Amino acid sequence: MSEKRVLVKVDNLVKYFPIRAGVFKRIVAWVRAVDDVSFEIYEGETVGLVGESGCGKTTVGMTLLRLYEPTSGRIIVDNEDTTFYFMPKFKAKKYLQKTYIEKFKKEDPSSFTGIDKKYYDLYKELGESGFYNKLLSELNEKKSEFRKTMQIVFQDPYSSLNPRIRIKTIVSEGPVLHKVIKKSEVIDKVKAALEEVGIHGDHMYRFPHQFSGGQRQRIGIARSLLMNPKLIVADEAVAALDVSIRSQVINLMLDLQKKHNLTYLFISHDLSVIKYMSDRVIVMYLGKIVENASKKELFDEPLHPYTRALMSAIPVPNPDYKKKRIILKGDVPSPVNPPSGCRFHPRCPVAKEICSKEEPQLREVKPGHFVACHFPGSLK
Amino acid sequence: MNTELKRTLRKLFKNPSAILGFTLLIFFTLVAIFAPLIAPPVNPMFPDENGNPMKLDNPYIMPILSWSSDPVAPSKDHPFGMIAGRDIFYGVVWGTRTAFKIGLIVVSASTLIGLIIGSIAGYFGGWVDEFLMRVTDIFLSIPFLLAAMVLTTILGSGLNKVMIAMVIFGWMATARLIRANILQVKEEQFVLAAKALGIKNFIIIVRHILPNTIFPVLVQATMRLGSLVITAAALSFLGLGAPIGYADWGSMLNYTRNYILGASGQAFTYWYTVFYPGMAMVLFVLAWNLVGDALRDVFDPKLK
Repeated sequence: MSEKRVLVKVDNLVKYFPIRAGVFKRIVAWVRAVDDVSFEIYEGETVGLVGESGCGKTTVGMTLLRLYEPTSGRIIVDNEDTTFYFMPKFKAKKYLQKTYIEKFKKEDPSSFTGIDKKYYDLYKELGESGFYNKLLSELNEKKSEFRKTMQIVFQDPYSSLNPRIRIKTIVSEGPVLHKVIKKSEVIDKVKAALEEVGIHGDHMYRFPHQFSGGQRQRIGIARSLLMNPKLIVADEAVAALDVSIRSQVINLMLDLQKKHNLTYLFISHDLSVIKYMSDRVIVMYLGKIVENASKKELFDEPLHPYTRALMSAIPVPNPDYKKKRIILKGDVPSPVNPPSGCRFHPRCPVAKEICSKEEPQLREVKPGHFVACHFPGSLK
Repeated sequence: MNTELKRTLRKLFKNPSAILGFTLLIFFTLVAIFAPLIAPPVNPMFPDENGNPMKLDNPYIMPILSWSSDPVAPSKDHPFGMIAGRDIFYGVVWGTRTAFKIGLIVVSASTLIGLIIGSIAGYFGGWVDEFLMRVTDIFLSIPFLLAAMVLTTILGSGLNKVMIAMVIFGWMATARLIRANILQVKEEQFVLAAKALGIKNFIIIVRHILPNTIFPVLVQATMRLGSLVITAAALSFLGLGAPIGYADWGSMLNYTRNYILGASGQAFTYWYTVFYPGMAMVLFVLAWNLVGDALRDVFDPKLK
């Protein structure tokens, strides 16, 4: 990681799920699964995303891959705004107008950075309608490019492979569609991909039920790998495997990362796996990022009280070692009705009055160490 | 796959009721195929110049062999007896073809419609689902016989019109069944994985979802094949279906209306008029039900 290039930049991502009730399926409430989340993923690194169940970490992954449409926010991949790719055309245009054109007309051009600057130059060069035409043209190619850039490995190896088609088709379906590989070279490429993940190449004519859980997870990895992606979102990819298989799959993923210069977003609830895999760790609580720091920083000196409590819950394989555990009171509140101010304040041992009133912003307390807390580091 | 197929077949043929079902089905199929040999479509009442009996223009219209419309008891020439001047044996044999025609065409057409509507509703969800399911509910709320009668009044009577009516009012169960199954399967991770690979919706439905949801529909279609013949017979009995003299089990029962009660004091005098077409129908329905049961046992993963 000598030069740090941003691969994915997520800006103020929001995903609400509607709760519908009654005869007319009126929306009565929203589940705020992901509420204003921003982070960056640099090329070649592994970002661990931790949090307890229901905190929105899987939703972040799914929205990133556009398996869910974001409610609002911006997802920038490879210095291209990809947010509008999967919208209907009129919505996409509205989005572009709201996000860019209005800003370009109001604000001072010299303050723009990154993607804003790039798009501003485009706007200056082509004018407003030219800007729309340029960005909304060749959407199919752009979607295809997006799919090639990002892939996912799922949690459940038993549900993630279609039981009725052969491994060869499972693995080659996407790459053939996106012309990553030619139809004529399917057999060779599938064989190579399978062998790379440690499956015998001749087994490509088998069906998923003929493999064990660990093997299936490897096939899932091969499926993603053959798309030649830059980023792989691993959604609890090893949670369903038993410990010995888990370490094999983790090591396989690390090897592949080196070989193909992959970037991982590693979603997990298992801190020991995160500690082993990640370069940087993002901690989520109830739809918000509470802390974002390099692995070393985060594990050595967690600043958010929630992170601290999480760390104290990691089991240590030493029966004589007595560690002081921080036990949090109560349960995670419902994301339908999150607490006011800091979402963690009802359970926080060091909460003060301000915590229930004012929402702490994610701020950089140390270089590269972001915390959303009014009193970072106050819990010892 | 081959070993699995073998295991499936072995399981199928260990089950006596499955064997009975398949045997009956094969028997009916053979009768339907060889109908021209079993009951030659000729009318001996009208010999041509060489003395050979006249060939029938339409073999499905039973030839009139006698001008008396009273039932005639089974004899060597007419093993199942005669009614309304027509040979019951001829009607039962050619009626097999009619039964297959009605069953197969109506079931495949209505299943196809149900599949398309149910898949779209289940996969896309939201207001599309809401709209299609309410349409389904409306169709379900109309009593079938009444609707069929109204429709045949509009379209005119005839076997084809009855089949159209049965297709129009026969797809709802399939649509609901496939929708429910798709709702279950579409949340599976392999469907999400296909979406993440950017596979098109149509291919996701056809390749990833339908193969994992279609077996209950096939089983249901098989079972329906038999019962549809009964429905068609009911319509024919009411005089809505096949034209007069058509070789159709239901229409043949229509002829027996006056003789079902028998002669005074002798209830079973005209038993053959009801027994043979009725028996054909019962066995045909039974065959499909047994086959449907057997298929369900084979395809149900919980029983594996």
